[in-house]
Amino acid sequence: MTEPVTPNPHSTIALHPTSCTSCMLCVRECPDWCISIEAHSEPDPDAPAYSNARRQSMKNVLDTFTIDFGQCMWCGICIEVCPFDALFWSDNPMSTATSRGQVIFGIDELAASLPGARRADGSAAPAIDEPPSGRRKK
Amino acid sequence: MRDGVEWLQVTAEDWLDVHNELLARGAVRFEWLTATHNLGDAFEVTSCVATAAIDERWIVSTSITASVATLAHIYPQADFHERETAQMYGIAFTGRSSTEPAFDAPFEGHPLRRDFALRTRQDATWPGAVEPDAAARRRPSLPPGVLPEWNA
Amino acid sequence: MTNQTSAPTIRVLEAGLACCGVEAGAVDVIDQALESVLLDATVGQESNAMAHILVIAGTVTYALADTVRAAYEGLAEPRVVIAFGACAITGGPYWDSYSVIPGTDHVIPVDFHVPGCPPTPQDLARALSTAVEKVRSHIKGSDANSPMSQGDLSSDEVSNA
Repeated sequence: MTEPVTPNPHSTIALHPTSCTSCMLCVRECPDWCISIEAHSEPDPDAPAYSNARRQSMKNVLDTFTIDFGQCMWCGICIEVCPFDALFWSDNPMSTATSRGQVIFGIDELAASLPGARRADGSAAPAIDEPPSGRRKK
Repeated sequence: MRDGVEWLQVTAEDWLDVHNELLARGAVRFEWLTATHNLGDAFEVTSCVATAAIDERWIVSTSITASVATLAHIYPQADFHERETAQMYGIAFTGRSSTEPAFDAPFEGHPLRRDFALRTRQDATWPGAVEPDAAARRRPSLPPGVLPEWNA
Repeated sequence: MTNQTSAPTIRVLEAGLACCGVEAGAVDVIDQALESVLLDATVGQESNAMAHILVIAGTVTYALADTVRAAYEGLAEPRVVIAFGACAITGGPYWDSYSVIPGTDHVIPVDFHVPGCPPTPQDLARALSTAVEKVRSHIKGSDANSPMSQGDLSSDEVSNA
């Protein structure tokens, strides 16, 4: 059992994109409104076909996910509230930016912090190409 | 008495008398006075007084709707606290000849009231309004901390 | 005062407006040519002359807007402004407050943004290294061999203005 690692409190937040279901909980719970998601829904090819289904089963597809680190206060509510374990603290340092836009991280920058990211129990977060590990239907 | 602090809840009518009693008991230091707004007409005004050695403290609270007696005649230090509380909450302190604002205000109204319109919040686009499932017929999420009476 | 490499002293005005001021104040002097002076309300004093870099470390309120602007205008050219911490960049947790300006860039132009709540003193030291290098190279034309250019801030994180 790995020792729980206290994350560097001045580190950054990593996103595992395929774990994200666009449930919008992190966006809505962030006290600073610094997370934005764009997503759309598509018919879910893996859903069973029920003859009495009232409407087609859909699944959300994440288009963009941004965290504005110029607004973020590192409270960690987004990481705690995510039901699918898609967000993690990461040891990657936050760097100084020369423009306001450079502190707004998109999916690629957030996923780039996965190598230094850890779960709450201190074990490593999944790599970007690993399958989702959180609670899902399948 | 807990950790040298005694918490008292008194009626608005007793506000001045209680403080006179505490002063007679040795509470010569006036620490602070502030208020809480519990929406609508419900306010709580709270003061803190202490002995000179600060080995005993009293935190006194009262529930009011609009006004409470001034303490500035018995505790001169209360003057600024009452001016600030009046400016921030719109509470009146009776028995004062005047209540000038505590500082120059870049705002109108009483900002520490819970219904004070936070313009920046009201004007900001709430990212949580996005609904990925276009066909879903759920009640739309509303931005937290934005009251409908702000006329967004 | 000059350091061992004979580079000119670069003064830093540190505006410790809130909690980030504590972190900013903890920056070790990493280079003898970095001399910090504390901001005071009477900008334009001779001691504030020749400061090139202004560090906004904390929340900018409406009450302080004029002081911040005056501090910026009192800087010697080339001027560099570092917004240190979330409050300085966007108003941070207080972005919607009645008394807070949501970001230094509503008042003065900002050159470097250091995210954090608060960022570490080391984050500020790295930002100052880059800012000092920028000021020195502007003053001298260019000095590619100065110790500051070997700092650990990688070049693709900081684009040249």
